[in-house]
Amino acid sequence: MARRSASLRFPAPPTCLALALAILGCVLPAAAPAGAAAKQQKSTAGEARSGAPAGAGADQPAAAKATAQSEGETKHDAQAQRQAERQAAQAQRDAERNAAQAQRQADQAQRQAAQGQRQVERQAQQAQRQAERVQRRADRAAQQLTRTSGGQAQADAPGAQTAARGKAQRERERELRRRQRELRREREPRHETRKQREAREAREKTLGSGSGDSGAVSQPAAAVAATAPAPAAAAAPSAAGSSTGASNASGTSTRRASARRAAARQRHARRAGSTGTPLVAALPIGAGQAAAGTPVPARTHKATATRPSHRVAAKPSQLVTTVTRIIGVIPTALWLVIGALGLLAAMFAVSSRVAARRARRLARQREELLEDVGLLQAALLPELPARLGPVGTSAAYRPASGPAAGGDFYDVFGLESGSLAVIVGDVSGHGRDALPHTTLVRFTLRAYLEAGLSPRETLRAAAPVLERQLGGSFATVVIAAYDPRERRLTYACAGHPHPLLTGLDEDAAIIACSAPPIGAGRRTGTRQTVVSIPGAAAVCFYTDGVVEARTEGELFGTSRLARALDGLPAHASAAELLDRVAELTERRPDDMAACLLDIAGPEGAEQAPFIESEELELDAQELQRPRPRRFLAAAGVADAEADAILAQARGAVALQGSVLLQVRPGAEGATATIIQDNLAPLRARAIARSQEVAL
Amino acid sequence: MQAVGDTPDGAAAGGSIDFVISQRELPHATTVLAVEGDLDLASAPSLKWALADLQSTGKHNVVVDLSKVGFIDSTALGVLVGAQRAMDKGVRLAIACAEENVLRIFELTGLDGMFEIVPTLEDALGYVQGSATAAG
Repeated sequence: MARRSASLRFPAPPTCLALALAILGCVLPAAAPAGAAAKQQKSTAGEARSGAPAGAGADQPAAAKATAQSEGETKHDAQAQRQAERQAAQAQRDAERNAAQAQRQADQAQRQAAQGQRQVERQAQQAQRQAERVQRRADRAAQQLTRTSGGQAQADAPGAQTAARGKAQRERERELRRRQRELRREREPRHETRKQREAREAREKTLGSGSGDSGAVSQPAAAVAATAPAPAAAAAPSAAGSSTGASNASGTSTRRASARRAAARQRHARRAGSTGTPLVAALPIGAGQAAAGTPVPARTHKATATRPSHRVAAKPSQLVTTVTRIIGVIPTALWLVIGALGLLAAMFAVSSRVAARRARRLARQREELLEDVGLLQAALLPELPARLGPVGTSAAYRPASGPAAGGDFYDVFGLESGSLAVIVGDVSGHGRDALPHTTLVRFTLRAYLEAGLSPRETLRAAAPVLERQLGGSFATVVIAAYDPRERRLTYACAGHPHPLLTGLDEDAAIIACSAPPIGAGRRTGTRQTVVSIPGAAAVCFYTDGVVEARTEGELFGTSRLARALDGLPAHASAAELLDRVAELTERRPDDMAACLLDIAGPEGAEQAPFIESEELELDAQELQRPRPRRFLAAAGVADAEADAILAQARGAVALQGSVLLQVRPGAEGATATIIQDNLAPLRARAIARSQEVAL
Repeated sequence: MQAVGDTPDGAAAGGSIDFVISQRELPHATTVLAVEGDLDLASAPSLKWALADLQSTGKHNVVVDLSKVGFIDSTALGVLVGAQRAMDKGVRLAIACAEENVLRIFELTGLDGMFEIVPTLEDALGYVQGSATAAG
């Protein structure tokens, strides 16, 4: 699932990203020229124009100031001068506004231009050459104007002729207008957008009205401001602040200025290489003397941007034109949005890939863990019903923390006979290796029990089968069957502790001649105990981890466990018992498993459980040892009777191979008998068959 | 019956009680493993390795002296069961033990019938060396 969603999710962001990048890639080189295409005309034109007025603009206010200082100044002249100054200031402010606007546009162009560094450099060179041409033209114009104005050259000198100045001004204006027209024609845009065209027309209109309304002095500045804001800004201050104003000086100062400009151009060109600021071309005009360094940037961009438009015009391509137009109308904000979206797409792509990989890894780990947990649950923790018939059942398991975990198992289930069966065991070995053995032992024993064998017969029949499959491991186990109608509990142990019953002494059961574990290489399933439970009682099956827990440096032991069992409230569960054991002990090195049967008593019956019979199966070898006698002694059988019964047993063993000895404890002494069991005839047949084979 | 060697074979910090196994070589290819401390989950592996070493070196009668063992758990019983089953034919394993708790555990688990468990070391040596002389 995780993988599918990842594969679906993943391609999307890259696609977006690729799209965005593709657009950016193909557009930006074209965009630089395109965006600036329209600006180029005005800027170059502006440069040319501003170049020309620069000289003049510098002259005029200076001249006006000189005039104001002269003694022969007329009032009219003074008013005209003030008006001119106001207009000049106004023009300067306009120019500054325009310059700011141009600056913004230029910034945009600059960002676009940054994408195509090499192209920008070429543009810069071209722009530089053009700027030099423009500069030369401007210089020529300035010289010409200086010549024509004549007296203006001596503007500084007091007592200049007003009439001569008026004439020179008029001539200069005419000359300016003519030059502007020429430049405009020369720069007539070939590929300008409608928007740009409108903007240009608006500017031209402003120029026309400005020149018409304002006085002669303001006109050049206004023109400059309208057409090329940045130069205007440069020009206006220079005009206002310049006290030199002498056109004589302009020759040398222009040369110096152009030297500075050339240096600046080179610096800018270098910077453009790295930052993408192609400011170079800006300078051309420098607006005359003072300006070379100052307000240039805005202008520069335009000048630089200019070049590409020529190139586009030279190789007009429908596609490029279309894209250029589309790009031209995309506002900066949209560019930012596109960039942000591209960035987001990239981030999502990366994060989704990382998340998908992590999800796959986690899913894999989860599967492994679930496998392990499922294995454990199936092997150790079968779900028990709260009750099986009249008996409340509960089981609990506390794995040891550490290398000893695993190996204990239990099961409680109903039999077809109406009895209730319990299996509790412990396989040697721990951890994962023990798990397959726990399931093997548990289900094998369960199968024999469900086939109708008694607990002892189950062990007897299953042990040889299991031993072949345990591969050297061995298992201790207690198997019990409770018949609720007879109120009788029958259990058999193989190397396992006996169950505890409330109301029954924990030493009541005979431990002599206990059967060995399954897999120990010895015959097992040789013992069985039958307990009668007339009243209410709790039966506790447990594994050795419970009695081997440590308290105050000692083993917890069977006695403490019996007391803990007696101390539990009525109908307590196995979990409560193990919790109690955990409270009473400090160290529990092995797994603890417990299974409780809560057997209710009939009304008014308070009788405690008692042992009804003990069974011991003997073979010829065992009959040679002292153990059977210990067993009979522990059961309370008198020595004389013991000798008699053992002699009888030897006789039976000779016939059948084995014999079942049953002891019934009683108030007036135990009675021992030899009884037939279901397996004896089978064994007899097996022995007969082996003898036939041997013969 | 003189002690040929007395080498502490291993010591395991098995729980709270210190645990030591000392190994003695005796005549008639007999080795005595004397165990002190509790034989439980922590110390059982040491006994296992000691027994495995003996069995790998060839025919050895082995006496495991549990006289100074206070407790033996199912893991240690498993080690003894494994050793008993791996014994070569013609050699014997005997356990010397008089401790009630340990004897009861052997009895309870039904393993008392699987081993030759005698009260003293002398009885154990007599049993294994009697087999050796019989075999020799």
